[in-house]
Amino acid sequence: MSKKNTVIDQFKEGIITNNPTLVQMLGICPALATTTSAINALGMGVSVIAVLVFSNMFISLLRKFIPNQIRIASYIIIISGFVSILELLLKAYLPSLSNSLGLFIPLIVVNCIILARAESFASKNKVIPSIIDGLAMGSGFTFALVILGSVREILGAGTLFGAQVFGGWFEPAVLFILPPGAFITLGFVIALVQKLQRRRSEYVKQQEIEYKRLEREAGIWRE
Amino acid sequence: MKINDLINKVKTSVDSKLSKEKKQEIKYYFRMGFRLLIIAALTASLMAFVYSITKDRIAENELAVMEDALEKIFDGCDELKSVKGDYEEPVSAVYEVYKGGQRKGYAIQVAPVGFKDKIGIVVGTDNYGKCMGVEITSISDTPGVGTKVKDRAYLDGFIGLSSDSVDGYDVISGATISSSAVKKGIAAALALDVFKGNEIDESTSEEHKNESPDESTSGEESTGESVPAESSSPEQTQA
Repeated sequence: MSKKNTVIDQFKEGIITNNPTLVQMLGICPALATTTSAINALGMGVSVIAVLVFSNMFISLLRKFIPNQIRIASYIIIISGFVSILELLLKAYLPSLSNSLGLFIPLIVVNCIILARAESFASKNKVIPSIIDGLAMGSGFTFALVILGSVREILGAGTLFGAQVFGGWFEPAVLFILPPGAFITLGFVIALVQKLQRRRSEYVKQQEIEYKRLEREAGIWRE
Repeated sequence: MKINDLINKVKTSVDSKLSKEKKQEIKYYFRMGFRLLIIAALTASLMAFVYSITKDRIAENELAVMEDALEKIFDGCDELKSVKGDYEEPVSAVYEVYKGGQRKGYAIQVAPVGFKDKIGIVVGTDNYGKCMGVEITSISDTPGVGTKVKDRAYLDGFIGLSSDSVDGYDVISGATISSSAVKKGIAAALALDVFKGNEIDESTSEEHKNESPDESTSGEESTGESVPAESSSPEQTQA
């Protein structure tokens, strides 16, 4: 029972409360650069999930073998190995995706989300929680990317996953496909997430106040 | 025996010179290096394993993209023969295209640098260096902006151009960088030396050359009769 809860908690943390891109502000570079279309964003997100899961697993397996002094170097070797493997697999089985993501696949090596998870989670936890952490954090990254990619594709090209969304009357704002549009969209999405989180925490606070008031009243009645 | 003595001598002299702490430090570095070596070896062997699995598949994919493009340019082809040589930057590979036993022309792979990454282009030419068609095989430029160069009308505008007329072709406004890159790549392909051996034919079969742009059928006849027979000899001497 408790195990299940921690898994759910891990996912909740990865996707919502501690989302690597929208809350921790990690991996902003690929989040801006690869979200020109929703399908690219999804491809990038899934690629990062794959690398993150395997690097977390590997690092967690080797956590007692890797000396503390050279841990960063070891992590980078492991991560870059998995990125190269992913690149080869994509080239072999999904050539169109590897074409459209281009340089950003090799650049996953320096994606700080992966190193951050290796450092702060996988190196201190057992294998299975590390794999789940990789899945959860990767999903959070993917979630953020797909939102960014969808908004930018709809506004900038008038399509979503390649399908036409509006009729002919819609004149796409090319700005949203270009780098400035990425920053603008990211800013709005982060603002929205912050707003939602604040509202939620205010709601929780109000609930607590209400609960305390009720408790006090109940106390008075008891007396 | 002598070597062993020497090693022992060096060992004892080093031993006497180094303090205990220094020795431990060296030991420590070796241990760290060894661990790193093991990790690197593990990852490298994993990578090598995946590489050996995917190698053929990747080569196949690259060829398939090329063949797809040629299918569109030449209306299908039977055989590709790679022409070896050192080509300058944007040009990456040159193939002779055969169909029905005749050389229909050349397929030239060029990869000029676009806005973000290299743009992969296949240029199909006839035997004399006239452009017969252009296909873009890979592009990672900005969608909606740089990808305007994939426009059929734009690419088809290159058909019939040769190395001296390609300069006059306009670039696309709003996609200046990508379209100039494409143009540069095509110009480099059309300016290749491979056509030079065929120029001898060109002068002898001047009438055929003039006919070929108007009527594709007469062009095919002319290449069928004169080109493979005569042009193969200078090719061979070059090789």
